[in-house]
Amino acid sequence: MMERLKKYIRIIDRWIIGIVLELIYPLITFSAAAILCFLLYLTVFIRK
Amino acid sequence: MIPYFSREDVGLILYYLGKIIKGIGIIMLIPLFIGVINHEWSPSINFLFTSLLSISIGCLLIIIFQEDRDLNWRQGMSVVALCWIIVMFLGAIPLYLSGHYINYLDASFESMSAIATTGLTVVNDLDHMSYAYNFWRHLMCFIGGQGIILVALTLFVRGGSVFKVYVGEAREEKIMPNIIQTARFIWLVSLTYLVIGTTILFGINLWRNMSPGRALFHAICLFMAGWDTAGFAVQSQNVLYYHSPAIELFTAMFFLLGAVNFGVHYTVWTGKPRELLRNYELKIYIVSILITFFLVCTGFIIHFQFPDFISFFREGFYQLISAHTGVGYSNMTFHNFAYWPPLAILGLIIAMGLGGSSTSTSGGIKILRIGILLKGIKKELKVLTSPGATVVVERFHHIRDIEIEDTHIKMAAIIIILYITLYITGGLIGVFYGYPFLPSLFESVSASANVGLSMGITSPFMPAGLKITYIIQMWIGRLEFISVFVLFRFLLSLKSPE
Repeated sequence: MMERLKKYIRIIDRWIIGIVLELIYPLITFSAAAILCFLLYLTVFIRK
Repeated sequence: MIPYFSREDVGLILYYLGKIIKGIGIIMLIPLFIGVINHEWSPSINFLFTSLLSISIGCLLIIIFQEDRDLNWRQGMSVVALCWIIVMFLGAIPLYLSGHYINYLDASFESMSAIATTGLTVVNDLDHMSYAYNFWRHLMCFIGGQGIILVALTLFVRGGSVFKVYVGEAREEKIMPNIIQTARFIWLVSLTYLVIGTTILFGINLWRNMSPGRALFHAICLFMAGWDTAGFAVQSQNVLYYHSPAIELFTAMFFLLGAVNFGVHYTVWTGKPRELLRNYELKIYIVSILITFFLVCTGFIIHFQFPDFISFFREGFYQLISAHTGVGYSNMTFHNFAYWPPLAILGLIIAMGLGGSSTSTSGGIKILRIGILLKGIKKELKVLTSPGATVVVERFHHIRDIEIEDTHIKMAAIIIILYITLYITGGLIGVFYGYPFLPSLFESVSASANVGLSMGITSPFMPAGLKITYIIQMWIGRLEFISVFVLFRFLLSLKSPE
């Protein structure tokens, strides 16, 4: 019984880690895009 | 060469279609329930009627063509292609009865747009649509995004035929050894995110002073259409209605994850988080997002008209990420495209055309095929520049290490060429109806790649011929050609049996 419980906890633990990491993945993409956009924005701002 | 179909083939195809139609009838009980709890009696009666009709047709087909055989792959492909058309017609019945559509063609357009997860809409007065009908629009997005066949595999269809129909729905990867387990895992991922996403969006809506019932309804619908990269919204102003950076951020997060390969979700969830860093498709995806966004930004540099960086990023990037993932959510009205420079529009068209990951809920060419083509070019260049006897091997990591073979490159190239042909054909048909080329191409790519962004051509008042064109494009684009070709072969063989 305890073994089975430990197994389930391990599976759920992996899921939670996986979900958290997956939720970070879009944030990294958005940050990279924001940096790119900001650099281009600065280019225009300096030119003006 | 696809062999001709026999009378036995027809019987077996109709038998399996009967099972799926019956299943759709059962699913229609969900909006019926929504209607009843909201005291919307007219929509409830319409859903009861359509549900009973579907269940009756389904049962009739099952009884008449009672077969105890498994499908072969061409029968499976035909079932898939046909079932999407039939579900479109059945799903359109309650929409047509709602009175929000000028005619049955418009309701069918909306229905195909929902199940193909496109998001182009021809609805009238959406802001006053009843909860039951509005929920049905979004539920169709969820069913279509998951895959009608996948829903059927999980609930209604059993036996050794399942892989043939699963493949027909443009999902070539078996994530787990057993196809039923694969279908269940895809459901598990989607339902887990449904709970997380709905909770977050519900919280934001509550915080913005929406009533709890309305907040929950908006949260569920926003999530279902976002995760399954469909792009329908509860209100006619789409995501712009909320004027909320938090909703824009979280919807963007969830639809980006919806456009990620379910195989990657499985690998990350089963204790291999490094897959997020190693996966070739994900790397290409991020690079592609950044390159197309660079195009959009560059387009704006010449005609710069944003008051500050935040509004520039919010509008530019949200449209871009929505286009690239194939969602079609928009935080601006289509009138705003009038001041988008052509280069920025072109950036969006390329992003829409490329689409999301393979075996995800998004449409378009799929980024893995572009990656395979790039690897193929690299391999050929290596062959050309190496001494004669050198064996050139090119690999990439996608869940496992895969060695590039000529068949991979050939299949990727064929599908890419077919998609580009479909995009341009739709664009030219739009020009034939008197629209300028760039908006026509934009709308055509949006329909074929199942995105849903519009420059204003899609409306209840566009020509009927163009509506039919977009319906066909959404259907072919969603099924990725092969099963549609097999269906045409099936229909031709009915006219000229051997």
